[in-house]
Amino acid sequence: MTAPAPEPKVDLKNRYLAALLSFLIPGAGQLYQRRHFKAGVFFCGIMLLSMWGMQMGDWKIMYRLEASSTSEAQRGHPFDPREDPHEPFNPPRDRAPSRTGTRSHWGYFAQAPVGIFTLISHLQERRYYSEKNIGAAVEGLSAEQAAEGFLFITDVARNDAGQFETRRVVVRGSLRRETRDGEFGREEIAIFTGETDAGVPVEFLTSSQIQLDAPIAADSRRYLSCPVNDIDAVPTRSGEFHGWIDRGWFDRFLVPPDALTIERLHYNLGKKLTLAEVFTWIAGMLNVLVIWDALAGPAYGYRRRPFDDGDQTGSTKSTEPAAAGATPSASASAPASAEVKS
Amino acid sequence: MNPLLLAQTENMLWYIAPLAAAISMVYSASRYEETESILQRAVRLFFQITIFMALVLGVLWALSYNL
Repeated sequence: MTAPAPEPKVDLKNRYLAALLSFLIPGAGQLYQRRHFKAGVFFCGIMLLSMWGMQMGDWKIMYRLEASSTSEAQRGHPFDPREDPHEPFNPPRDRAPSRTGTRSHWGYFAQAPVGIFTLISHLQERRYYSEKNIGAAVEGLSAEQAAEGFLFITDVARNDAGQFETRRVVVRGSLRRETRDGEFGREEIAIFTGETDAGVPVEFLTSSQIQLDAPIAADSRRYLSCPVNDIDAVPTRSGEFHGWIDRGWFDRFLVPPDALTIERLHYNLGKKLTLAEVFTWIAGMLNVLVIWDALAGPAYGYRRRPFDDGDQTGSTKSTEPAAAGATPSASASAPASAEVKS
Repeated sequence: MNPLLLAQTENMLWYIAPLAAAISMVYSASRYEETESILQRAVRLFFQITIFMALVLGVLWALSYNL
């Protein structure tokens, strides 16, 4: 009976550093240990599941604190977006979001082992709950940017029923910020130029009383509301614009969603939202194995042996457990092939 | 259901294939070091997962028949 061929050693280098790297970026620790194939498998497999899951969940499913069911934004506003979820509108929030009423989002603990996203979501949580994250007035707008929304025009004349009729027009175009001389000195206003969904050109001045949503939120739209004047120089009794501009990518990526945004996610995605979360949970759980692999080497050994995983035949014949004098369970219990150099 | 409508509906079962493939590869790679061993085990695990899920689907389908 011949002695089994010794298994090649795996040089784990500084295994604690490798584990930390694998926590931060799946496979990075293995790359540091020069285990290139495994690094590629771990990176591609886990990042694929994580990114795909987050993309399916509209990049809003990784957050530590779940907002309470009634948000400040939902109270006392003329629009309830849930009435028409296809044309959602969140009223701009003028106060910093509060942690009051939030509860743990348990799925986060399964997602957390993928460190790069955990760190980003922590950073975004701090930014989101910061006291600086409050609504702005017209100065929050840049010089010119794309905007769309709903223009509410109440006619100056009464209709046949003797009431002032309010029309809602969907408009798309751009908002341009300008400074002009007003009744009380220099004032900043914004001018909307665009067209209605019927293709009719439209231009109007917003008043200086623009309410712009806080800069950091999960929603890709940064909402704004304002009274408007001089709608195409047509005399109107009153007008209001409720619209939105694009929120910057980093101001919404992995930012905790508020209750309204979560409700809308459920409405729009249905069971796909759960599937998206499951993808990210599995990715997180798999990365625990990856971190352990960087720390202690492969769990079963260098290569596959007979009787591993209940395989009665064995696919490779390099070693015989009986000849090694070790039971399969004993050989599988420790990363015997790992040579630790720390 | 109309077969044409059914074909147009996104079937979520298709998500099992890439999910099972990623799980098989990552899990197997955490067990062994040698590329050949990883790949062999990953292929085997992929089919194990797929067949198991198909069996579960079959059981659930049978239990919900005519419901």
